[in-house]
Amino acid sequence: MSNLLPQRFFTAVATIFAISIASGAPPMAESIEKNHPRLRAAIEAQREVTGGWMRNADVIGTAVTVDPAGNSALVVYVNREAAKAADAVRSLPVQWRGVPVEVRLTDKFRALRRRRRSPTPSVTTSHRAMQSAPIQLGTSGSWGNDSTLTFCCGGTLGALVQIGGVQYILSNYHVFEGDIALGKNNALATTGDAIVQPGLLDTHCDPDSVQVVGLLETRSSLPDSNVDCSIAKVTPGMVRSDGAILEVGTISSQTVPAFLNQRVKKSGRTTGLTRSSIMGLNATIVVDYDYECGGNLAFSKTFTGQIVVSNPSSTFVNGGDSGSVLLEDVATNPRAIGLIYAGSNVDAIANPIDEVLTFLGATMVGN
Amino acid sequence: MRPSQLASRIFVRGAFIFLALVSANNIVAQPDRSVKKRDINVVLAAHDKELLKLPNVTGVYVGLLEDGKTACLKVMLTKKSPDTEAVIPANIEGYRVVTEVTGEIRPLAKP
Repeated sequence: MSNLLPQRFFTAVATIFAISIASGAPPMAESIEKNHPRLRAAIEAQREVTGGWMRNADVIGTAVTVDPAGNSALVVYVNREAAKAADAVRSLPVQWRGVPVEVRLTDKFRALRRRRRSPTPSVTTSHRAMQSAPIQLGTSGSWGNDSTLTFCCGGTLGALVQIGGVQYILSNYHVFEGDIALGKNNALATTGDAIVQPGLLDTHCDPDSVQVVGLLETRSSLPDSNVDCSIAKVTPGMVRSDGAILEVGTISSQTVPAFLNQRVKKSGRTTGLTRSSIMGLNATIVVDYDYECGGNLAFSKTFTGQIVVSNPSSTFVNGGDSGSVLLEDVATNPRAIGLIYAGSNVDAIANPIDEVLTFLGATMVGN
Repeated sequence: MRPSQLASRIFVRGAFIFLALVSANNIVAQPDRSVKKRDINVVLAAHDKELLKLPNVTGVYVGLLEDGKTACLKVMLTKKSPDTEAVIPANIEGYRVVTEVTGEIRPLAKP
C-alpha cells in the first residue's frame, strides 16, 4: 500500500500540471477542462492503466493532456536512463480505448524538497584551522611548497602509522609528493621537506600561518605501484602519539577488509566527519594525475582491486579530503579499511589499507 | 563523416565484435548449466581491460544489483554514452553488467 502512494501522488500532480500547461488556462478553468468529455475519457483511461503499466519500473508516471483544439491524450513518462527504456516504450500501445497514448522520455523525477543540511561537525570542530600541538589527524595539511603563483593545494593528514617504532603521518602521494616538475613554484617534492598543518590551501598560501608537523619521506608510490600513499616523519611533540583523529578519537591498530554494504566513516579536511557505505569492490579504475599543483596531466594511472564508496553529490568526500582514512563505522577504536584518494560526485575511491601498509612496511598506530 | 568519427565507429564496432566473440567463447566453454560459474572477481579480472578500452569507460567493479544482494559487474562511465552502452554486454559469464555515469574519477586534493 505504502508503495502505491508515491505513484498516486505523482499521477495526481502530473494530471493537474499537464492540464494547466496544455490548455494555457488559468487555474479556475481546470475544473471546466476536467469535465470535457474527451478529457474525462483520458482520465478514465489513465485510472485504468496506471497501476499496471507502472509495474514496469521504467515507467515512472502518467498524465493526461489536452491541446488547445480540445484533443486529449494519455501521457506516459519513461525513464530515459533506464537500460530497457526502448523495451518499455515498445510495450506501450499507441492508444487505449480510443485515447491516444503519448510516450515521453524523461529524467527520473526527484522530490524538490530542500535538503536539510547534515549536522556537520565542522560547526563545532574545524578540520581546517590551525590546532594546538600535539594535533589530531583528519585535518588540513599539505606539502610546505604546494603552491602556484596564484593559489595553493593540499589535502588531509589522515592517520598515524609506524615503521620500526618510528611514527609517520599517512596521506596520499598526490598530497605530499605529487610535485614532480619544477614548474610554477620552481620546486620538487623531496625527502626532508616540511609537511604543514593546516595546509597552505587554508591560509591563503601564507607560510607564516602554518606549523610544521612532519618531514616528508618520499616513497614514490606512483606511478608504478598500485597505491597512492605517502608519509611524513612526525616532528617530535607535534602530533598526538596515540594517533587520535578529529571527531573519531583513537582507532584500532588492526585493519579490516572491506565488504559490500559495510557502513563506513571518515574524518577529512573538507567534509569533516561523514558516513557512507561500501558499494563496490575489486575496482579497476583510471585516474589522471597532474605534475604539480595546478599543473597539466602528468600520467594516467590504472589501479586494480580498489574500494568504491557511495558519494552522492560529494556528501561523503570532496576535493581536499584526499588522504583521509576510511574506517569502519563503530563508536570505539574503529579499524582502518582504506586510504581515500579519488572520486567523483557519485563514487569515492580508496586503496585497501593493507596494501598501503604493505607497500610502506608500516602498521597503524592505535589501540 | 570526419576521420575521427569514422575511427571512433570502427573502434566501437571492433570492440563489439570482440566482446561478442568473448561471450560466444564462454557459451562454448560452458555448454552445461551445471558447470559452476567462475568467481565474479576472476571474471572481472578477465574482462576489465577490454571494457576500459571502450570510450568513456573509467572503471569497472564488483557491486550489487538494486536488490542489494545479487553480485554484478558495474561499469563506470565518465558521461552518458549510448554508443558505448550499446556494445557493453548485458551479461558476462552469467553476471549482469550494469552501467553507471560517475563522471571522471579525480584525485581529491584541493583544488
